[in-house]
Amino acid sequence: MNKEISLRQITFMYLFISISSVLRQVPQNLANDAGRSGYLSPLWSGLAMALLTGVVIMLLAAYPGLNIYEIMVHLLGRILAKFIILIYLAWLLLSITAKVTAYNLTLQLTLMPRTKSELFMVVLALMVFFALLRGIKTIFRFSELTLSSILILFAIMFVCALGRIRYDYLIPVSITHMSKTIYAAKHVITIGGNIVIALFFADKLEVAISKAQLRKLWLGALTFVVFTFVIVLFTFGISGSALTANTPFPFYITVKSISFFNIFERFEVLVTLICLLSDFAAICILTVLIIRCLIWLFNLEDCLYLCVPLAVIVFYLTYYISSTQFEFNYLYKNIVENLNLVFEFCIPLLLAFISLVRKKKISKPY
Amino acid sequence: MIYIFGITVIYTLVKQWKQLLEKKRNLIVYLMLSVIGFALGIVYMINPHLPSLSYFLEKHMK
Repeated sequence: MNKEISLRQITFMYLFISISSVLRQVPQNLANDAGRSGYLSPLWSGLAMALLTGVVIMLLAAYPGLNIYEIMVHLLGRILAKFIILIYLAWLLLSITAKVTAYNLTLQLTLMPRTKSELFMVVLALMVFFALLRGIKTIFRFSELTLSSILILFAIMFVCALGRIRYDYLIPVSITHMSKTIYAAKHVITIGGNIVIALFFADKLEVAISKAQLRKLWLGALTFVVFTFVIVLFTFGISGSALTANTPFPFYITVKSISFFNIFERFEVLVTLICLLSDFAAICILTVLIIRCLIWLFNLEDCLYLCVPLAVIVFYLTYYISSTQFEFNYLYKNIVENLNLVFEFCIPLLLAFISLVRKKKISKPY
Repeated sequence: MIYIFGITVIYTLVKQWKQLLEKKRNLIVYLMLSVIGFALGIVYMINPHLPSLSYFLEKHMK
């Protein structure tokens, strides 16, 4: 079987598409729900992430060369699998709409406050279309190439910010806040659940996945938890939980106060750029997933031309679903996060459970 | 915007005509998605100030 992408590339992509949500939504939501001890929540989320990564690896190992749809057909039958894919399609449409809105709001909040969102969306649609014309391998390679430099940049920023962290913003933490920090870990888990993209692209991987490759997924999950912890610690330690809770993009405000030995400042522009790149990659991947769902649902052949009517639908859906920052925050916190829990956690867990109970696994690669 | 989208959809339809006709369901899915997109666009053109879904949920789910 032709190996189109590797598990390493999927891990890089998973981390890359998660960056923008971690920077934009996580610090604010944790500050709102868990107060000053919210920076401990990413550590709790590590437990859920370990469980989900274990489930993904188990499914990849039990069904080599099969994607999530084929696994569902194998376990639940064709009709039920198609029905679940239809629901996944609706969720993906909501997710891509939310992502496009977040992309527009980031640009309007930071670099171009007077520009209308239509322009951003048209430019984005053109960029996504040209990226998809080159194939998914190009998008995965782009994330592979960019992620390492982004992580190095964050490491430099963190070193520069160490002197500015106020420890009285972080400690003392009371044991009574523990339940709040556990509950708030939900905000991290819903982003970390992006790791399920590995199941969607499992048919593009090698049939025989080595243990070293599977270890990459564990490493990816660990990097995600550590990265989120550092970002939240950084934001809480410099801006304080009260300011973090009341600002739409607290990390952006936080990095404004950082400079690299008074030589290089304005890190916030780089942060905006990273968010935009991450959103762009996420929108590309979501588009590919929507097209794959349509292919599975209607038994189509490879059909990139569906991008055009999809772009029309997503363009207008952004106005119907949420248009202002307040509406987006409400939508993200109450709808998108809960749906992410269902589609990124509950369904893969259910599949793993059914697989264990029915023991319908494919033991050898074919 | 809807006119630009209209031209793009028709251009793609003409350009991919052979591929779309290879399987009837390709054409049906393409047309179905286009109709949904344009229906959303026309409603938006008629009333661009319709309350959004999250506004509706925020108002009624408290």
